[in-house]
Amino acid sequence: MASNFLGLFGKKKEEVLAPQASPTLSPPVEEAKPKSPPSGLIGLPQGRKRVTQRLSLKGLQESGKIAPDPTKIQLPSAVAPARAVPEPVEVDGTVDIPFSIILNSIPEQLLVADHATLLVHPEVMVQIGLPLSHVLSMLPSGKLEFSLSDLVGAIPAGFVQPLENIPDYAQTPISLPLAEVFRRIPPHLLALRSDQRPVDAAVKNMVDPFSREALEKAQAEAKEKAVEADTQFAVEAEPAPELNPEPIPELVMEESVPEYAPIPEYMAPSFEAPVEPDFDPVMLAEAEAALAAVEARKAGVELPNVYDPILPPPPAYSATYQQEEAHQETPISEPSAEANAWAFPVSGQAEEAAADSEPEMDPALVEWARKMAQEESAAQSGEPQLSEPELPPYGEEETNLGNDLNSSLAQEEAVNPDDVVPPPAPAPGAFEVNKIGMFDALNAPTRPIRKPKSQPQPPEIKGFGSFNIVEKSQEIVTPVPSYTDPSALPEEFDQATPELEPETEDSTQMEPVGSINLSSPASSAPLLSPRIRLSPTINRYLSLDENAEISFADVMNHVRRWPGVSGCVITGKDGLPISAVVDDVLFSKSLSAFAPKIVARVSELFVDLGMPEVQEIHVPMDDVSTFLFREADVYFILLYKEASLPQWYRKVIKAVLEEIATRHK
Amino acid sequence: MAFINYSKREIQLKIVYYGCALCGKTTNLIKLHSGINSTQKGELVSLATDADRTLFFDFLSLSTQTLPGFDTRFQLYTVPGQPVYNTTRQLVLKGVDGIVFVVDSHWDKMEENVESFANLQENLIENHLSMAQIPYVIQYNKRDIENPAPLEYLEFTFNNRATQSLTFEASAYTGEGVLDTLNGVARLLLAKYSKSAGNKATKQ
Repeated sequence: MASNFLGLFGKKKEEVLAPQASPTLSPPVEEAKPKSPPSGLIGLPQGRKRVTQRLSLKGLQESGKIAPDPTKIQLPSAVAPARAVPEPVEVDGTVDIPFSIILNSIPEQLLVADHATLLVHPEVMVQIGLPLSHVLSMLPSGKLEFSLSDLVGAIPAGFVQPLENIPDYAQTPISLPLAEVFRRIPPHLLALRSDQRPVDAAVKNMVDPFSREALEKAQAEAKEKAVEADTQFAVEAEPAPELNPEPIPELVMEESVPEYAPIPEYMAPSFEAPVEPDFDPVMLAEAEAALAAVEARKAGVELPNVYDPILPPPPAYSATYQQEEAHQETPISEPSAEANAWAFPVSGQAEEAAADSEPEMDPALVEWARKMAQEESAAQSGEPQLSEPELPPYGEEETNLGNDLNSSLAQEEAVNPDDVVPPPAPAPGAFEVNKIGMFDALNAPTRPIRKPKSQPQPPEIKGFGSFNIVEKSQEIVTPVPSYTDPSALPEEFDQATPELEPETEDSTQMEPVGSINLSSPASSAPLLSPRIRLSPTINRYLSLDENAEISFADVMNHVRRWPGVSGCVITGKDGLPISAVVDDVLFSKSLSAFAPKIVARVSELFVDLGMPEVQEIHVPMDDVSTFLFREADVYFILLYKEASLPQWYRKVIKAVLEEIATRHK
Repeated sequence: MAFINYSKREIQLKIVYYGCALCGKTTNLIKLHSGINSTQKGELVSLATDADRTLFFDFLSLSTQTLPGFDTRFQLYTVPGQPVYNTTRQLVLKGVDGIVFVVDSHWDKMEENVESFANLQENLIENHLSMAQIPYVIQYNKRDIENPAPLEYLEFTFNNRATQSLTFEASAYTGEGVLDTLNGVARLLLAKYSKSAGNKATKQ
């Protein structure tokens, strides 16, 4: 039977707890040196000795710093958190637990018999006192462990093999059931620290952002919005309702119009001639005159020569007439002054007017008026000729009017080409007038990309762009990481997913993770040299000294300053930008991430079609076009404001890319 | 760090659900995703293995309008609880604004809970942060199991620090306490940023 060791362990109700010795005064516990593992642990050897050991608080605390247990799974050192070293708690007393609980926690190979055999022993009901200080210090660690050597001295003898036989297990931690121990700890010992600061009251009193009321309110609002949207959609979907206006009452003038007083003459409206501001009144007057002449000729009335000016200029005449008649009362039944002005004058008035009018008229204008009059009269009569009664029989001499018309037509045909004003020549750079009428964008001629003579001419894809094709001798590295190639994965990814197995048919769920482009500068690192001396040709292209050392940032800044260039990015096969000059940083990262995938994907499709791999991809857009260039594992992305890239730009970019790729190799 | 977009009047706050393996972090997000109105939430993105173990992280975006004039968007992440994925946990913790530490109430999981809590502190230090800087709440999950660890012990173990944190009993499987936990950490964050905004306004 184990005795009470310094009051740390002991049987319940048998012995009074002795005052604990000071940890500093307690003698250190001699640790058993590890030896080779014993050949047989099971079974109690004959004539074994009962091992007793003096335990102290310090000894127990030191026992917490145990050596690695070979029986436990050890976590990787880089991942395993530092085990909390239990701090000593100055609390006297013990926690008493039945020995059976401790016995169940001891591995069977350390016992003299199996658990079932030993648990029927009456001594298993003995209460073992565990030091509270040690228990309380171990509680925050989430486990309660004692070394075997600590327990052996406290538990009844005859259950555990002597430590001489199992010296390597003397320091093996024995985990006791926390629940069983905890329920026996006095509650007052589990009080929280007194200096603990409470949570801010503002936090407690704040309205929950995701409270049930808020959720219900949000749901109600969402429902209302949905109903409104449905209603609006239904209204928009339905045909417009037919208007059902109120029946319009019939207008019965006799009944509806009230009897008004007769309108005074001075208030009577004056009838004015229709205003046609867009038409030259002189031309109109002459045309009217010509038409009247035709009508008069039909009626056998003699009229003055139509070539003579018969009408005064209407504006001047009208103004004069209005000035003279301004104060005269005009009867309603009579035509107004302006109407008179536009009316065909009688002969006497015409002569007077002719005296006041301009003496000369343009003969061509009068001729045009006559022609118009003839056409109008012909249209009214439905016959092509002007005046049928006066037409001579077929084959006889034509009328003067006909001669005049023929002569005018002949004059039109014999127009001097020098007199014709030529259309304005198109300005340089301006669009030509499309004579077809409709511009076929898809079939519009595109500017082909000039390729080196050694390479085949690429196919042109209408409406999308053009692909520059290289021979398959250049190896393309697909940026999608493969599990079969661990080196392709970033180091962080390897650490993060150590359980990843080589890709199998069943590991389809691993694919999305593999497609995640984790940031890793691994593959781009060789390209990130600060300043290098590129070839003199490139320096010349960039208007730099041939021996100047430049960085990628310098190159990108030069390219960015080209006219029409709105951004450029150099990226590696891992999709990480090596250098970028784009206003939107996020967009530049997206470009960098997707450029290798786009090129690789298109190349893959081309290879499937039996064609060479793609080295360039041009994506023309309305606003900013994207041009992707690839050289080995380096990609150059240019954002250009035109759909077609100048040949010089492309030449420089290719040269820079070749240089970078060469250095990268 | 919180991302404040003044042009869009939007605040983005990152909350990470941390805890040991199988403590119910992903279940929390699943319950939140199923329980919150569709207008407030985004899609739940989960990268899991065949055994529904979180491989990389889970992600859920929730929005609310608690702060006047701002649309507050909470981005909820979980970490893989298995010890070997510590690098992933460090990555997920980058830029964290608030933490929900999920404690498994199983007695047998207490050691893992404590180790996970210690691991959280270490990873915060790796990210140049500390528990004193980051608002966090503790969720005692799986309270519906038989013989769970008593609250006294959990409080003694996980909430015996200088500043008492908000703790919530929950059963993520049934959804109980899940929303309260989110509200708790959201309140902490909103109070923190309201204070900081108020201090800035006072200084100006």
